[in-house]
Amino acid sequence: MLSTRVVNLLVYAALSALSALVIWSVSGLPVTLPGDVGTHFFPTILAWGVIILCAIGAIRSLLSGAGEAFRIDYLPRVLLTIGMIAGFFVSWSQFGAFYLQAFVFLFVLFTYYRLPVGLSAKLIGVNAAVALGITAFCYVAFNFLIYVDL
Amino acid sequence: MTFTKTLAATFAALSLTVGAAVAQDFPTKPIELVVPYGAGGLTDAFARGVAQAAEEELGQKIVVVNRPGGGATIGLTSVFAAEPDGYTVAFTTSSPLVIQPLYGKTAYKTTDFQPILRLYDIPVAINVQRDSELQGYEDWLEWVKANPGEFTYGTSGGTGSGGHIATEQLGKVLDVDIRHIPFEGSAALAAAVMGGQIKGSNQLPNIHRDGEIRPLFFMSPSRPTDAVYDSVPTVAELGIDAEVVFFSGIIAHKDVPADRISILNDAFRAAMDAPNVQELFERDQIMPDPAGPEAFAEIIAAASKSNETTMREIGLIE
Amino acid sequence: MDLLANIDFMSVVSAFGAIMLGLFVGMLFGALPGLGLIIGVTLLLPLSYAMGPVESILMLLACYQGAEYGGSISAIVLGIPGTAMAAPIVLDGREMAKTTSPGKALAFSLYGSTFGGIFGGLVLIFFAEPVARFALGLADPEFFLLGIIGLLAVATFGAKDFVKAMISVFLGLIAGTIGIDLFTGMPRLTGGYFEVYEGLNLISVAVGLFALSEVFMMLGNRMNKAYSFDASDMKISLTMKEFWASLKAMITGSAIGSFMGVLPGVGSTVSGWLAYSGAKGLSKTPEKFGKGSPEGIAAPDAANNATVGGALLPFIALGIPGSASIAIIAGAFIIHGITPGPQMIRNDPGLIQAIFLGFMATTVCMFFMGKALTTVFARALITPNSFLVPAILISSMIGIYSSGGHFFDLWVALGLGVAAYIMRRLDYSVAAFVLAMVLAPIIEKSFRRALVISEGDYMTFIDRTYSQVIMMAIVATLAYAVVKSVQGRRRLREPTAAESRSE
Repeated sequence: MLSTRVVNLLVYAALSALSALVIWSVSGLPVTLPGDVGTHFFPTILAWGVIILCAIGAIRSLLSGAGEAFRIDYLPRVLLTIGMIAGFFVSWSQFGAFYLQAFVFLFVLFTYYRLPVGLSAKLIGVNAAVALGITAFCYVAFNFLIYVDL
Repeated sequence: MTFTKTLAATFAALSLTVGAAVAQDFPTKPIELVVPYGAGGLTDAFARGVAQAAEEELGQKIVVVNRPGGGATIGLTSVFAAEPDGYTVAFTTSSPLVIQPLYGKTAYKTTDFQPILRLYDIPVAINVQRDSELQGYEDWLEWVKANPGEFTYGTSGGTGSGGHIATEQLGKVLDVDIRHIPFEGSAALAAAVMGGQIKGSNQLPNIHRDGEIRPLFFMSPSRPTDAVYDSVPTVAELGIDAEVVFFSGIIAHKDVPADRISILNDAFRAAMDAPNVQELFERDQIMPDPAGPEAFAEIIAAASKSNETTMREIGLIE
Repeated sequence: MDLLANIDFMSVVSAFGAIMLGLFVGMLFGALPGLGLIIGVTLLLPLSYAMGPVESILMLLACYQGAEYGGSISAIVLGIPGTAMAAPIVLDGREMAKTTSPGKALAFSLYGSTFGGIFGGLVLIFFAEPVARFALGLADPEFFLLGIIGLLAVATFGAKDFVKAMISVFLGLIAGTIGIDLFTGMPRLTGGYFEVYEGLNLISVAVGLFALSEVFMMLGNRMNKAYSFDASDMKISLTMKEFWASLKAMITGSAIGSFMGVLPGVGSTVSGWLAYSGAKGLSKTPEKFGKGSPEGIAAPDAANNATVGGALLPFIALGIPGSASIAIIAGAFIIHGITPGPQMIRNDPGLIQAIFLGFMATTVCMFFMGKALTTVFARALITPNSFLVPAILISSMIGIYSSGGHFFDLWVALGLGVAAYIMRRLDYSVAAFVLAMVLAPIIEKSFRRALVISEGDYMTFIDRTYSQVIMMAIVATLAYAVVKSVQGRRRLREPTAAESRSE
């Protein structure tokens, strides 16, 4: 189990690396107007700012205690949901048919989240009905009230 | 089976006569008119206006799709990537077609598209604050020559935008030293002219609605429709070789069959005369100026060539 | 005042519809614990594409107003503040709900909210024009300095961890520099994606940072917990006598709220608590506070809603958003190509009048909608998260996709949502990030343009009276921050209920 301190340090390291990437990618951009500080100026000083702040933060957290454990309750559920969202994006961009897929997405998530309640025919029926209701509402709203091509 | 045979024969016949057959059969499904800008702007308003009017001409629905982003190149990229069957066309302005591809980062080249119809040019002028002592072109030229580097002009699109390129070209032709100040949006630009932070601007003037942006001369071939601008000269009338054409028009993929282009041209050309479109022209002070595929192609080629020369000269491209 | 001039019937009808929609969503999201104002505004923002400028702006403002009241509903009915701003309401609201009746407590809350909303609106209407007239003289150097004030305030007020708040601000600023650089025409930090040439899509960023990260947090709790509440005695009305008795608290709260709203970065989280203690100090019966005092409900609720009008003032008059919620509402202005600021008041008086008039209408409509539908919103509280989460996910996706039609934006939102989920748990501030991202272009462009105009002369930032005045304000803000952090260290880690979650 990771302590909050370790997670903090990891985030500081990641942000510093990101900032270094920022500095690297804007270096060499030209200055074309007289008086201008250049395209790279702001990102560069800001990224240096992040690096310095991360260093301060890292020192502070090294000096303080390890802190409590960084717990993520129901981690599998969080990860699975993120995976479901990503999967939905992929399949929506590949196959279209947003409303059909949205219905399936809703129904699966409802059922998954409500598994602890106990699986039953009634539960599935309710889930399907709510998913259908939301999908139908979106369909009507975005095709007739305001036009959004999904 | 006879049915399958008939079907195969029909397909064969269809594929043989594709050129002739589609002429009558086009369009058979809704046409997508891609606007490379967000909803709500001038270009979007015109696109929606002509789409609505052209629907009646074509007997098919025309769906306006806003695909903003990437300096309007995302919308054009999507039209370039679509099937070249004439069912996906773009309502574009000049920038994504004759400026952006010159930077070499877009997926398409200017020549990857063929024009259908140019609808209008946006009139732009070199302006000063209303109460400026510079009354006209001669005043301005004298002042600029006497004060090199002192005339600061703003553009609403920043460095590398059409306004910047055009005004730099003007400076080159007249051999004067003027200084570009980039702005984002014409409201901020107008405010800076009014507040005296900059001396002038390259944009659409607004004295016709009691504004403070007064034109010295127009860089576009046309003027806004209001009579207040009738006495303001254009660069062509002044004999300066720095005319700029900020056109707006409809284009398609270069491989769309010519007969479909001509059907679309007829429909959109007719749509320009519809009352709802005429109303837009009036509201936005724009002169309708239709140009068919050939004429529009020449305009595009000329603009692309002149932009390339200027961009090279001022160091925007190598 | 010629506010009523040139208004036609149809635009009134559509504006009314937009206001009702905004209020409904605002109250609903305000009432549902965890969702709150910013998520409500974010999910409504994409609808702006399909609406006129006035309608969409009023819809978002109505949502803002509605959420400020909606948060009180769950605070009173369940004892859980629906939004961070409603935290002070729990103290007396819950108590009164138990001892007297929930309806009475809700009534004090609603009357307070309405009073505060109107007060804030009047502050906005009366001060916007003078401030804007002053601001007409402002140029790039001053706008740069104003932007800096906004940032300083974000980082100094109400940050749990100063270093992390500063990191959030810096990251937001970096995010705000993504795109084509106006001054050189070069793409910057785009990674070759055309989708970000005009900058990150504000909607996808806000949805990712607020809605998606909140959803992931909900997943970490029990999801099928259904609250129950007693629906009896929900009659929401006050007698004249009760109203008069709490009037002083409402005025105190409104004055504090609208003033705090004007200050950048402060927001209603702080103003609610300040109003609570302010009203307690001025009350004839301070001993009743915490035991179901009507004044203890009316004052913070008035302050919350008065903050809305106050927060709009610097945005409308100067074009500088002062809080994350205003920064997202600014999205509607950007969508419609309207640049808020002194020029807007001058060039587009019709629009400003419509916004002012509509703003007053939102408070009045809120009053009636609150009276009629509070029970409905209270019932919505029993929706378990297992239904709520997928529904929010779908509406988030529709919102992002409809704003630009790019799948790219969906991935940005998901990535930011995951990052924010981790970083919020470590006390980074997503609100500071969003505000900084919106302020970044203002700050960078005005800084660089000032230098380009002056041909590199840095004196341009201090050689005008305007900029000197603003410089003094910056010094004052810094001094205040130092004093406050010294005080804060003294009261080290004093527990505050004001979790800066949604503000």
